[in-house]
Amino acid sequence: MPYRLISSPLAKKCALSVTLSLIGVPLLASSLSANAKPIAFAEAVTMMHERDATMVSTEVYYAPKVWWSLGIADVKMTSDNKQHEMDAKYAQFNFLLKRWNMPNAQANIFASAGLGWADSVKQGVMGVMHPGHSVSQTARYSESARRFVLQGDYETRQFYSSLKFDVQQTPLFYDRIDTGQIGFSPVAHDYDDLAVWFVAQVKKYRGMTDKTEGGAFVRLFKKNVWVEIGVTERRKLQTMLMVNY
Amino acid sequence: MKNFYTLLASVALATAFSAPAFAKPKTIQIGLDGLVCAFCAQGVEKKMKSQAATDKVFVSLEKKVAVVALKDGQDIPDATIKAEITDAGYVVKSIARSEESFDALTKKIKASK
Repeated sequence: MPYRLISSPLAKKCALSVTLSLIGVPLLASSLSANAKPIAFAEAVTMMHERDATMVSTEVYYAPKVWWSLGIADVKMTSDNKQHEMDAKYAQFNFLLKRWNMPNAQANIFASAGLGWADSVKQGVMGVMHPGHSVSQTARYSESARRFVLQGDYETRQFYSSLKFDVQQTPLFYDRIDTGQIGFSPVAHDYDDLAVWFVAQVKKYRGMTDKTEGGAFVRLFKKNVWVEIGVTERRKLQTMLMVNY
Repeated sequence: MKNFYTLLASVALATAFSAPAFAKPKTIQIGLDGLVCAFCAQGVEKKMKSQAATDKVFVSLEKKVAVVALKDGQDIPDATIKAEITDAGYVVKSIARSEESFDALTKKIKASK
């Protein structure tokens, strides 16, 4: 019976969520980290472009100090059924709330707040006139939008973990994506080396799309360039590019 | 009186040529906490390169050190190093000056176990 329980799709998702919570929450509470970092280092420009089946985001930030950065974020979301699309643009502040520098590790907690504007398109069926003929409606909204992100990470030269909570909200719309990542690098890289990481990820979507989805990707990291490419469990491509200078 | 001037000249000459006592450091080795990724190294490198006395910088994640090559006859005070590294978001564990050349010191650091 226990085996049958854990083998059901729902039970697998629950097990995944529980595992993520067990691993992620203590990390968040004690040392935290996040995915791509909104602040790389002081006096640096950070550019990030992330793309998966649900979201395409482009973000550019300037960090005058290591403790904060300011910039713009363009986040395009598409629901799984393709009936709801949103394109939000934010002016965003990022803060490094806390950093722990250890002899062989580093941990960070970041928080971000964005204010902006969102254009949404929502398609829906209004009613059925007679069998086979329905009346649909396309609604378009332009409204103010807010974004809050809390993320934390803990990393050594061979181990990486992060947890990120990304909430977007308009008067008519709420979306939240929780992302947990755990990765390892087979080789302890140095500054001039190409760092190769293997990362497992779980994302929980709420709002436009309600689902929990696992994924795995390879992260390549050298000097000021960070590239990720991988697939989700639904065989959807996921890519990320981050450049600092 | 003549003997006094001879003695004074001797002391002056001896002082002038006692090179070790007045030797200027060529490099500074900075031990750091929190260095785990290339972004960390970049941040430290950028901060130390911004100093007028800096010629070039080497950062090792493995050895957790930054090595700064100083321009001829110049130096960076410890307080400035600590302030710059703290501003970059890292913790200074040690600062050591050396008359070793940048190349020799970085080679030694890379070779050390």
